[in-house]
Amino acid sequence: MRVETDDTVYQVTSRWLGPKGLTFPVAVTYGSIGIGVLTWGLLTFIESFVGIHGGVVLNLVDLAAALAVGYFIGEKISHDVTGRSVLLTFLAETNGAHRATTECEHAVLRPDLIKIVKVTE
Amino acid sequence: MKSGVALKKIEGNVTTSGTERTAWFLLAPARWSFRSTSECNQLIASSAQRYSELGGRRLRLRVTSRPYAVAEWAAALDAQSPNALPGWADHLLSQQRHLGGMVLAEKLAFVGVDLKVAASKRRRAEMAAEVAEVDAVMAAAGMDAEPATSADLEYLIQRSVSLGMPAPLEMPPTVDVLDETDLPEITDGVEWTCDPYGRSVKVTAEVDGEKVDRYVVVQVAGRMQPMDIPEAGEPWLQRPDRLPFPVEISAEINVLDNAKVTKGFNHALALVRSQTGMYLEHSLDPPSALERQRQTALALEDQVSAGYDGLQARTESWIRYAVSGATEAEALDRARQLAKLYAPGITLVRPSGQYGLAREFIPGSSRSSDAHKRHLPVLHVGAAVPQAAAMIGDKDGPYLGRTAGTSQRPVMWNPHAAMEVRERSGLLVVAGTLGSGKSTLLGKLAHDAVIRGVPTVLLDPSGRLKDLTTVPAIAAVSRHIDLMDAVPGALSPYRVVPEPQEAAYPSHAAYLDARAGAEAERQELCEEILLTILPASLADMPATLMVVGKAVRAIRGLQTTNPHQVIEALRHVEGSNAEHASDVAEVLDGRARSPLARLIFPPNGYVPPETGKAPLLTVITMAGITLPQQGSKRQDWTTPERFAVVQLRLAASLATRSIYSTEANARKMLMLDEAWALVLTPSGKAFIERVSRDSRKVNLRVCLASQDAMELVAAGVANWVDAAMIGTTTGADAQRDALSLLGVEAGCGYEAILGGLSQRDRRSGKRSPVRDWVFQDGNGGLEVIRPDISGTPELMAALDTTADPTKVIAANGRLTLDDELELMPV
Repeated sequence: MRVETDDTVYQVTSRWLGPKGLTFPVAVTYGSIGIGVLTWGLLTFIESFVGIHGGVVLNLVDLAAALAVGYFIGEKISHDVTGRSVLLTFLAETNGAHRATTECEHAVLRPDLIKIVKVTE
Repeated sequence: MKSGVALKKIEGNVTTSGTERTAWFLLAPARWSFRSTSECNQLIASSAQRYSELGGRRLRLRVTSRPYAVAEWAAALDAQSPNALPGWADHLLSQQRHLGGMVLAEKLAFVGVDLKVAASKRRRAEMAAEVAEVDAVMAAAGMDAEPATSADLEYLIQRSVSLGMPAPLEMPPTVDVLDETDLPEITDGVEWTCDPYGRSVKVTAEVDGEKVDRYVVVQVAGRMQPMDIPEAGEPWLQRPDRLPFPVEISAEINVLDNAKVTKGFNHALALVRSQTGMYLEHSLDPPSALERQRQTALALEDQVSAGYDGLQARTESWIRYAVSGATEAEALDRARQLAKLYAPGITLVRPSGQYGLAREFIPGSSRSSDAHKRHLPVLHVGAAVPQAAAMIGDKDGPYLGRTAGTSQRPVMWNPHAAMEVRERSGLLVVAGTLGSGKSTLLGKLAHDAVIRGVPTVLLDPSGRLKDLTTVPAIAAVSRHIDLMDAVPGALSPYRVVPEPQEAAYPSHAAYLDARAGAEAERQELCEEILLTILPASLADMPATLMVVGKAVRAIRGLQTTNPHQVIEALRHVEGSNAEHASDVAEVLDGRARSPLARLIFPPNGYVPPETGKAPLLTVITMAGITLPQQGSKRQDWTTPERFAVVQLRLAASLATRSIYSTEANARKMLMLDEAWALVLTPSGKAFIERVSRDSRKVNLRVCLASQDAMELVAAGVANWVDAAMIGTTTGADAQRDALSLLGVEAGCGYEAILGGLSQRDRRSGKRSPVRDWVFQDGNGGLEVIRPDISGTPELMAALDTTADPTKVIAANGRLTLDDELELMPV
């Protein structure tokens, strides 16, 4: 008997081809668009927070940066490796208390947290 | 990341971490080798059914290994060997050392089932009911799991915390009370470190007072191609057993309920529709993958909503494999080997976040990443069969060797367990062509029996095993008899059948019956021997059968009777066949005077059987005997071949004589090589049937060895077989017969295994030094094994029967022409 995973069903790639009547030369995934929009918003927020006003040129730079980040991170994301898992792994790897470079060698295990109780029949 | 394990409490087989409670079970090992396709399918379907019954729950699978408990085995074997020889203690010690130096492990497959009822003192009844419900599912066919004991869980935690470290050789002592004071032994002194986005996790622990570093690499199961189940080889989660290093497996399996699965498929369909619409809106052809996905989603949705047998249930699974090495390079190399093993069917990837992934192996830890989620039908999960393992032998028998299939585990086998425990016959058939290692195997079985004080008689016509009697540990209790040098008449058909002893019978009447039976047996044996040594054209005449039978019955079948008396009686047969009888007598007289007949026809009357205490090991050889070619017709036998057949038949009876005179409960062993020649005569068949039948009553392990199994199967021996060992077997018919002895269905592709055991290396022209056997242990176990005598060098030297001319040259020096001339007879 032949069995196969259901993975293909769940791996529908949603791309945006462009607005009706205008087809972009490159189909972009909705994930990349989302990341690009977030990046653009973040950059705009930082610029306004810091007080940088660069007019059209800066807006174009922001847009280019948003596109680059969206494309770069979008490449890392797939059906197997979701955006959430990329973010969680990034946070775990950069903030983990398990790094060998930290001053204190971290004992991973805390035996005092474990309790074993023998159940009598 | 937070340090410290999530596990808070272990209560019986239930672990608690945070608000989650998990009930842990240990799966019973399941045999996979040599199962028929239908049996494999049945196991997979049962297993899948159990998974589907756990719908809506999260399962955690954890596969690890435990070193073979050598000391426990030695203690059990010692207890089973009350009459062992003085050298037994040293032998057992050397066997333990030998086993201790090998990488032999037993697989342990744990399944943790998350419980839904939250722990609360007020909901005890609900909690107990849920645990009972899960227990029942896990105990059913397909899982055959038992709740893990505290000791099991303690071991699992220890292995997981010290991931990649050598497994502890000593098991945690089983004690009645376990509390937190026991745990520092497991968890103290272990450190895990990992660089950001590092390729491995460094685990440092103290082993025997020294700090040991191991590098652990975790890989996850990526894309999985369609697979045919049952798989041609081993199940996909058993595959790492092939590797020479340990692989730890951890998996989280969420068994989904149908509503969630249907929702997922509908969501996928909506996406497909939306994407297709977008492509059409832009006047573009939609990718063909979209249509394929739509068709698949519709078909699966239909299957899931229409399936009532539970086999359509779906899971979300995350599967992790951990390998370790003394250096990071070694660990990465092992990871590559593992990935290669799975390619191309399953892609293994080494993702970032190694630390979090390694933590998942510790019971109670949560999943570190959503990545690499596999959507597997339960049948796919059921086909993993993580509990598949080599199942062979027992725990208290002598060490026979190790399995040579996918996993390496020691094979211990108690030859007398069939009679003493299972109350079955004790017939073992050993079949293998020349060079298959038959002599070595028989020699090892005999040596291990004798050193444990079991009286053993070994009939080895070729004489290859005569040196067994020189092995120092058993030499003092061993004797070699070459029948060709025995006194004339040693194999007289009247002499070889023992005289019943009255003390062995409950009543005088029973004794008289036995004595009459022995007399009749001697007469039948003599009649058959005389007919066999006659030319076939004469023996097959009805008149010959009549006159020989008449003459045999004219003489009483006493132990003191001489076959010459039967020939004399033939001369005095009266009636219409008198002349023919006289002719037959003349022919028989001629044959009886031939040197070949010396052992059967004593020239000087009765030769009394030997008396006195028999040695523990008797090796009977018949150097120079010329047996007919296996499979040849009786009519084609030459005179020496006829005598060889009858001599072997009589020698078998002679060998059995001392066995029957021993006390019934005492263990005994009888080994008959070239057994195929025994079944060529009706009395030989009857002889085998009798010893097989009696083996249970008299606690006798009978080993019949033959080059192939065809004659034995044709004689109906398969009906009495308890255990079988099949070596290299070529030829379709021989392979079919061998499989029937093993109890394996023919035509399932296992024939190729029999033909491929111990193959010759074509490049070097040498046969592999190891000889593999398919062993059916009589207790449901069936595996390819590799007998191992390397732990007993003296035995290895005695059993090395491979011709090696350098040994002669080394011993004697090369003969010069002068030497040869001197040696030439004048």
